[in-house]
Amino acid sequence: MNANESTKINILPVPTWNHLNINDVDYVGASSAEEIFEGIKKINIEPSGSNPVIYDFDEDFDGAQITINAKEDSDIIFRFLKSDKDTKVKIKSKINDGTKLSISIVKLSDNERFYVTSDAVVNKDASLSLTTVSLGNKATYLEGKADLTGDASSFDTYTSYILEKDEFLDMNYVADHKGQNTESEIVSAGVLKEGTKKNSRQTINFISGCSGSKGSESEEVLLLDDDVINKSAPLILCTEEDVEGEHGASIGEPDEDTVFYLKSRGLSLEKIHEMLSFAKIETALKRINHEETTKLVHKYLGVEDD
Amino acid sequence: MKEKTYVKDIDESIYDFRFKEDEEDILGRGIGADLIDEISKEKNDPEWMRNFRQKSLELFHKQRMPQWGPSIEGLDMDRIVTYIRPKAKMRNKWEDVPEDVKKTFERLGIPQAERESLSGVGAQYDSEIVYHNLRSEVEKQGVVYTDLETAMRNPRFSEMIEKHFMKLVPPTDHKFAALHGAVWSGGSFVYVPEGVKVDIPLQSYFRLNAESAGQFEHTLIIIEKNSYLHFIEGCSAPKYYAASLHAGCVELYIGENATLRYSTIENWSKNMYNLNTKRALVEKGGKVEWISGSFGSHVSYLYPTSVLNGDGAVSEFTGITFSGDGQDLDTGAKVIHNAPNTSSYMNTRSISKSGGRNTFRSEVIVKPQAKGSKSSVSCASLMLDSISGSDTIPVMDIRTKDADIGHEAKIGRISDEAVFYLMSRGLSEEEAKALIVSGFAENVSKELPVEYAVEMNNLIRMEMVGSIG
Repeated sequence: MNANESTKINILPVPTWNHLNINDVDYVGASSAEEIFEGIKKINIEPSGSNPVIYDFDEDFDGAQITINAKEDSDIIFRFLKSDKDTKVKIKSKINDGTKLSISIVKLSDNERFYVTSDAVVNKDASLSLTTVSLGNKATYLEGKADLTGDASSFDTYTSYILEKDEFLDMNYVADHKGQNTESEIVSAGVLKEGTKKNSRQTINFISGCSGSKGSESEEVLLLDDDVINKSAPLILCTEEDVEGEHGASIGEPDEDTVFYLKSRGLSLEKIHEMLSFAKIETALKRINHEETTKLVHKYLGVEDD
Repeated sequence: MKEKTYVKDIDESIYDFRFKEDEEDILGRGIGADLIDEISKEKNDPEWMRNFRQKSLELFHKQRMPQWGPSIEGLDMDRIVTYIRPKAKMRNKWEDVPEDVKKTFERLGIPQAERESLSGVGAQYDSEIVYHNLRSEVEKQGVVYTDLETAMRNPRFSEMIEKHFMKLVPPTDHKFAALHGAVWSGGSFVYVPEGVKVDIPLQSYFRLNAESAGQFEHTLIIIEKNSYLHFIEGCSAPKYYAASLHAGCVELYIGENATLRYSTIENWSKNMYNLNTKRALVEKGGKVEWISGSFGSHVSYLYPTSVLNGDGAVSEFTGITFSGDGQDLDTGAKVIHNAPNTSSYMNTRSISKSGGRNTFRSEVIVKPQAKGSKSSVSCASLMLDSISGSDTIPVMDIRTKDADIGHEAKIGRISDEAVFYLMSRGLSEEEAKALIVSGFAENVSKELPVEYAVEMNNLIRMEMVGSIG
């Protein structure tokens, strides 16, 4: 790693004003995106129907270049549990006609940097469901792109996070609608506290010819402290008439009425904030729907299971 | 087979007429230090302004072209005429204005509008203001409405202008702000004293007649505490094959508990590069209301900015952009919440057709000190065919927990269900679609004085034919 070099990752598909510092993010230590993954081991996955398949990455793990060729409905859970090294993961998926692929990324590590980029080609009648639980790491870079090439293909992604103690999270999610009647849903929900920073980029790109397609993107961000920085760039790009795209965002403190009600039930403000934070993660865990993973995340968060 | 709805282009014929410019009136083309000096001499600039122009020119040469937004490669700065000598001095009676200039504004309906619905009018033809007038009863209230050059030479206002000129939009802001600082000419100065409410709007109309020319007018408005003003800005030009440039600048200073409504109907010709910069500074309890209709230009970069500097300051932006064949219009707004309890609302509509491209671009910045602030952004885009484009690029930068930020965007086509419903109530399909598009544009038209809403609707003038389901 050369600390004097850097390369731009998580690039916004269409740039906007430079002074906002949201067009991309610098990844220090590599001069190109390819160099980030130089020397990183390669893993090929061809799921065979026994679901879910769980990959745990621990201890000396510094990354992987994962290729997935999904021909059968598959459910893959990647769990990043502990590492002292920077972690870099590149996932390339091909989802064949009529196949459903679910990828879950559960990140519970506390090392300096974590970077995962997922790029998928989704063919006819196929779907990709990408769920991410992002906890820990001083700096986290998440990227999820789906190329909805096939007619009636779909992509839905949900990212949940809790940032604390000066942590930094940078996200970039893109759905390229190319086939007809394609659908996408990009959602992120999380919590910022204690001097943390978060950038979120969400892009729905309706490309000419994708008639009948629909896309939505949304973001819910709870801000619990005054020294946090939240940046959001939800883009909708469109060169097709017959589409429906929408975006909604809600950013701020917890709703006053909710807090008032919970206080009236005897909960402290600290406990209320904790509950509202965990709720963001619980939604992701429900999507993953894997008991052992849920327990693992609860243990990390210090939540007692019934 | 489904026949496509056809929406006719905006009828430009009422704007597309011209009078020949005398070559000797053209001071020069391109941007050079000598030319800037000549402009200063021609305009008898005070010393500080001469220096300001030269410093701005240096900045212009140093700064890069924008690295985002529509292409401006077709703009050849060396060919642009930066200053055209006026045919006559500024007048305050239309009878005294040169005949061809007067005819131009008569065809645009300005003198008639002045008689019927305005407190005052300013008219700029190419580089200079040729007409300015203010109703005597408004003048008696202490309101000043004149061209910026006259005000700059008036001892009562010279200091005020030096203090405010290009302080909100400094030449360091971007390349075309620097260009404006170097070559600006014409524009209006408005001053509204404390407590004065100007009930009837003022209007400035900017007409660019010459070919391959630039218009660089500067509008400076200062309204004091508890005052009110509605200012309307209109602009048009005949169409030429060569590119023209508009790099104007608007600076609005809004005092405590004062309200300024700034309405623009922009209908530059389709060879125009409209790289305009508008900014408002709003003090405690003050309010800026931007109403913006963008219909013309080949390329537009236009994002009125509100700096909410005082407790409880408010910004409202209502805009519509209509983009047709050969147009790439990048429009939107910016808000900087710089004080507690500030509020901002953006409500925009865009319509794309016949290969036109629209981009809604926005930024909402909430600074750490802006506790208790609220912002709501809503943008909707209507695509009328699949050879056009419409992008939405909003950014939010929030730096306090004590803020309530909402954003929603929608893109789509005319709803079949809505058309079906209206047809079930007796409308033809054409009428139904025309009604839906008009309703879509209503957010802006309902905010304009009736005369201007009518003008805007005439501008849109949509003719719906065919559309057999």
